[in-house]
Amino acid sequence: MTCKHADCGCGSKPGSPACGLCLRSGLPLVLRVVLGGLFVLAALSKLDDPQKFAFGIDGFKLGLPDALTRYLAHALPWAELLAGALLVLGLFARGAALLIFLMLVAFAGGIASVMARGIEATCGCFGSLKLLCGDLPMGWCHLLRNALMAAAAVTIFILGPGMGAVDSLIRKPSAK
Amino acid sequence: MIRCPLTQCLCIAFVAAAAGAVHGWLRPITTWESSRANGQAQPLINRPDVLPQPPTTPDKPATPVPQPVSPQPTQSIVQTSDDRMVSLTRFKELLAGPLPAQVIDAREPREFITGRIPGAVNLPPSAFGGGMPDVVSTRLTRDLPVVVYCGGGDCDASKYVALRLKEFGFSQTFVYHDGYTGWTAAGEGVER
Repeated sequence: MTCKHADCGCGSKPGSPACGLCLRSGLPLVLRVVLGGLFVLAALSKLDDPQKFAFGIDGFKLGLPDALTRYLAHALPWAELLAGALLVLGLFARGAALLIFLMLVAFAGGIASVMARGIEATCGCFGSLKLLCGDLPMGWCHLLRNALMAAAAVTIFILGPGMGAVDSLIRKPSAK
Repeated sequence: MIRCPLTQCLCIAFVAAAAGAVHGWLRPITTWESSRANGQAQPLINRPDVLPQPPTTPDKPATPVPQPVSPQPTQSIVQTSDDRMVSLTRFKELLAGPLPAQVIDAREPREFITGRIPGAVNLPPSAFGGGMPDVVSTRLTRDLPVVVYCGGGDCDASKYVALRLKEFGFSQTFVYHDGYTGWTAAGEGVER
């Protein structure tokens, strides 16, 4: 498998103006910390009570097999935790951003499905934490929130991890 | 060092999948469906936070004296998979039975204060943060049936609370399927 984004840690060719600009920019760093931090928080609150999250998944009424629901209730928080932590650290940042983007797309699909079917479901997004859309029933607020986070993930994927990323530190010696 | 984002993504997903599998093995969870398939969840009798005999509070002096449940074909409260979800008629039977059911409102407090089924105790899923909520030990009796309701329809908060109460030793837990919406739609009285 060939990879086109392995050169700069920035998505651009080494030495190009675009690469230098985004490496200096603090935007990726801020996005990494905010988005990764949110995912870590979400994961920790779900890992604290996987049973509650399983009921949250059930609330989407997607017709998933029960065994899959229980597995997802355990595996999804771990995916969020790993991706979020790696994003904050800036290690495998593009891969973490890609995974977060894919999860957000899946979540948005679930939310849209719930809205289309008129199901009143509770968002288990942040577990017992009432962040952002709080107690609001699943709806446009959650979709907008997901869209913003997805935009942040895409930005990180395109610009790269930016300043203070472990990825950049590891690649510096080899770039010389 | 893995440099390709797609490979990185797959690696993270694989590790998360493995961690999820191990976590699921170490800390199995019970969903409404799995509890029906496997029978009722076993009470956590060894939990230190599960009191053997909950105290009676001053604001609830008329707690009925628990009595052994004898098999009564006409008014059985022994649960089968179908019996866990009760209709309004069955709900009223449980309230009027020899061991009157305790009513739990699993909605959030902001909904609870606007109106509730008379005598209901508020116990939302968010109350189960760590261990047993205080209200369980102070306001509820394990020997009596418990009927849990939430907003109405096939809502999940009531099922969650019912299963958690089962873990804490409440052997007779039911879910009122139609919830508060069904109760008010039937013209039943509410408490504010």
